[in-house]
Amino acid sequence: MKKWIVASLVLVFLLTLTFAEPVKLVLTHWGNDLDNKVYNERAKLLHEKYPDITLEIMHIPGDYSQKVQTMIAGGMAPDILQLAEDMHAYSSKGQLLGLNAMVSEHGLDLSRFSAGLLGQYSYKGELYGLPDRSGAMIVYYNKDFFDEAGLAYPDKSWKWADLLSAAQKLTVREGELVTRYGFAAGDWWPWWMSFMAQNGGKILDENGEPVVNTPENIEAIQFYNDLVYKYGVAPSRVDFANMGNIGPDQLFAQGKTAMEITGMWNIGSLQNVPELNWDIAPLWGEKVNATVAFGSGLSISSACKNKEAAFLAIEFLTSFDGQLPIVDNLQDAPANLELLNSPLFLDAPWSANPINMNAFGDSADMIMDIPTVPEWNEILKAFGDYLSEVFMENMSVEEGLENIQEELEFVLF
Amino acid sequence: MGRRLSGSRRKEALAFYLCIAPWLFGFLVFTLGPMAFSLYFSFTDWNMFQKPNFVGFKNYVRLFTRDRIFPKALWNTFFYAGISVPLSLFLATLLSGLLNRKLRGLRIFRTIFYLPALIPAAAMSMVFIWMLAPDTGLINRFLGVFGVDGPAWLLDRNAVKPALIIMSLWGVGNNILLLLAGMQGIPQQLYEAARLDGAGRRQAFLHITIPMISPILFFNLVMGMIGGLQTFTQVYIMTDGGPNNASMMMVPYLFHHAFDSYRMGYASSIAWVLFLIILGMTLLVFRSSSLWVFYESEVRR
Amino acid sequence: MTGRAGKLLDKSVSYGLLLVLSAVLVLPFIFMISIALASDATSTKMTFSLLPKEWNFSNFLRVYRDPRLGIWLKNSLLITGFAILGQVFSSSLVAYGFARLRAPGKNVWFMILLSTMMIPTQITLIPQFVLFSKLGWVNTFLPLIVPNFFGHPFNVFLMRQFITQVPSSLYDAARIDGLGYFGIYRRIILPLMKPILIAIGIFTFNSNWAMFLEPLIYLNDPEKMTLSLGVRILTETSGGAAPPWNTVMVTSMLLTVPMLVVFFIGQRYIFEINFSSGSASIK
Repeated sequence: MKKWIVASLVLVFLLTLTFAEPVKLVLTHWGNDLDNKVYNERAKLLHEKYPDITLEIMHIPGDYSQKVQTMIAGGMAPDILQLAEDMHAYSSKGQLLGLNAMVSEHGLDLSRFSAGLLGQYSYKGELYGLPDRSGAMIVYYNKDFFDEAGLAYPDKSWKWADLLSAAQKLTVREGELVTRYGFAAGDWWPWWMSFMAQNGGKILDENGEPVVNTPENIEAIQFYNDLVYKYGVAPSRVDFANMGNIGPDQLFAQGKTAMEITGMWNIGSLQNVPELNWDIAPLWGEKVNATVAFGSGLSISSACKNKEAAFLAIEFLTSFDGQLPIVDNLQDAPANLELLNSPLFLDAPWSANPINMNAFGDSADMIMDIPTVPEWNEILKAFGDYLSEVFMENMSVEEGLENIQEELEFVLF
Repeated sequence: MGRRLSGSRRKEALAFYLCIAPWLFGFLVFTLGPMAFSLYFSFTDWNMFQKPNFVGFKNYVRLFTRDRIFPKALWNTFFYAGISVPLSLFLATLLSGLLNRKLRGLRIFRTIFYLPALIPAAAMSMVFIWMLAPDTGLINRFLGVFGVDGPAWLLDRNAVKPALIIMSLWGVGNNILLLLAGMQGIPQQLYEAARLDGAGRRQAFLHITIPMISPILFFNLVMGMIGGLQTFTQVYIMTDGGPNNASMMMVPYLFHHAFDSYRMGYASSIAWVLFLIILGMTLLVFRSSSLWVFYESEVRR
Repeated sequence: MTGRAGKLLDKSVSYGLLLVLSAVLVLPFIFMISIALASDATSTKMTFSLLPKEWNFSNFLRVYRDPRLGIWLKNSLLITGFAILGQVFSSSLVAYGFARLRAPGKNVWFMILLSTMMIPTQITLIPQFVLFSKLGWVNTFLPLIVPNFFGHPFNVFLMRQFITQVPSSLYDAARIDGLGYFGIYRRIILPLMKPILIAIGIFTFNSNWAMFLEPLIYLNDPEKMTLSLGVRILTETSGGAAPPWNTVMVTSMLLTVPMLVVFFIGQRYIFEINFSSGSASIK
């Protein structure tokens, strides 16, 4: 009898140790006031579900990676981190907890996320973050301009030829001067990288070796550049600078381009321009359909002392319920596919005019697996250096990609 | 060293060390350690997170033999600092001369001259990107008045450094503040004596004002050099070193290695090369100072 | 062409030059005001003009009425105030030592002092953070305040340059009056250097007021944020969205205007006292 009591006491004690003891976790995130509000609401929901877990939200307003890196290097790592494309710079240096074991232990069904996102957050077969926010890059188009020209709206079935012919018909010139462009993009990586992927091109092969100067990539960048210089249906960098250093988003808002590729955030911005009649659609393809997902994942620091609680936290935060505040506050597209495809997301009052929110769900199966290797930032730098020459026509596409190839072979040593 | 100091000299030396004690303490506690660590890291492969491994001079060798961008960054830094620092100092001297007179509204003018130096970098950069636009920007439209077809500035690899230099001239107020303070301190008797000798305003400026403010010019030159060679924010915000590293400078480059590429060891080696360059140049300027800096107290001694 | 007419011409040329230069230098600020007053629609489209075309003063209210502004302001004033106090006292004392007192090793120490400015802060950031975290100072104002009490090389060098300009006859007189080294510092140097101390105060105010990276690295709690950090919250975006430029400019002006006011008031103490002329000491 006594033994039994002691045993049960020990059991209770152990249980309290592992669970009942209140756990305080810190989560770091970037962004603005709204982002902060949403993370705090989600932390509250988490606390309601697991009263022993308190999630403290630390908002880092600017220079996020510098602060987070300093915290980790200084031995004060946050427990949970919002991370994006540079996640594996941390994971490859042993700073993030590999999640595979816990995913199977908890029976977490990963099919609630898109495969492309899971690929992005995996490195050498190990998952290091659960997808949290994910708005695919989509095409925004001006309905009035399409109606005027009697053109069908863009859709997934488009090939580059369709894009080009629509853009040509939509471009308006007064003499030499273009007063309205058919299409607009720029030198930011999601733009040119998705064109490369649409043509079946890659940056790194399966073994992580750079494969930049392939015919597929050359053809893609050539087409991308031709839209500007050969066909004159998209603005060059100089044109953008001359219009007040704007980007495609501003050009679209000004009604000076019929199409642009951008992310979910632009829905909110366009609310400031109510006179514009626009809608969204998933991107087109050439050999395959491909787009970039713009979002972030939640990772657990390997220095976290309560890994179990931290996993419960990110599991909940990426669940249907845990992601609700993202939609309720009109913050972003949730990575949870169930919520992304639910009426809650689709019918939320994102915009004063009804828009095709299905564009995000429809993009889920075309999200490309971007090369989020530890050297991600250096890959971007190499591309940025030489593409800036290519996009100014200082260098041929072949020469530019050849140089990037060489540079990557040097960088990925 | 080793010489015996007389009693009064010893007392003076003691007073010296007591005076500099606050700095000495702060230096030993807060600065020496981090500096020594960064020097040590420059001989390692530290990635900021994991234990560093000692690699000898590998980082330095790579820097000078295999790094494609480093020579560019080095040249750009010298080009930028070498032109913007003296140019800004020259303009500041002229403007201070203009402001050092009995004119109405001087306080307003001085405030306006200092104003650009107070605007946060992010806002200033946005404004300048707009002003430097290829065809529609204010600066090229101004040049157009004289029939000059201005370059694409920030998008043109040959014009991006001059663009940054032009922008730096708006910071002239920082130099003016001190030069003007120095000019206001020049005893009026000196000018009166010069006038009696028949010297004009220009002569007085050249032969009285300039020598009398030479210690401040010297200060501004040294500080401008130390700061100019460490230029970071403008490049980081406005061009990120582009196009194709045409405006890449030493500190943005080491920042890229430290916080984008996680090569803190390599970044530290860049920092120490930069340190040695600045130290060497500062010593040179100090050596030369006896030729052109005029210290009233030392002359009289 | 001498006398009155010449003087008048001379004056108008000076005024003309000053006006033109002021117009050029003030351009960025005017453009800032124009953007700050732009509507949200204009801000989204980025169709700004140099001179304001819209007058949305509500942009200012929107930011200035933020309830957190008071805390941010208080924190910034606190940090800045202590920083000024520390810099003025420590830098002047250290500078006096370097300018006036002779001791073996002085020049070497002075070079070491200057050389601490030659290593980019970006590289010492992490070792410094480790140090302050070991001291338990992270998430307090201490890492932002305490180092100011040990002088800054810029201020020390600046003061040294001015102290060396003081005629040595003054020191000789003071020595004859029986003042010791610290007596000279207190009775002669400090009063004489008041304008430069005010200049240092203004510099310290400006650099601490606008400081961003250090508060970001060391402060974690929202209620400990400084103004420069806090106003960033109002203008940050996530994803690839462009910042709300009108709000960016409103917050930039929120940061600029206090510095401007401090300068405008402080300048008369710098420029309107004739300090190192022989007569100043007699007064």
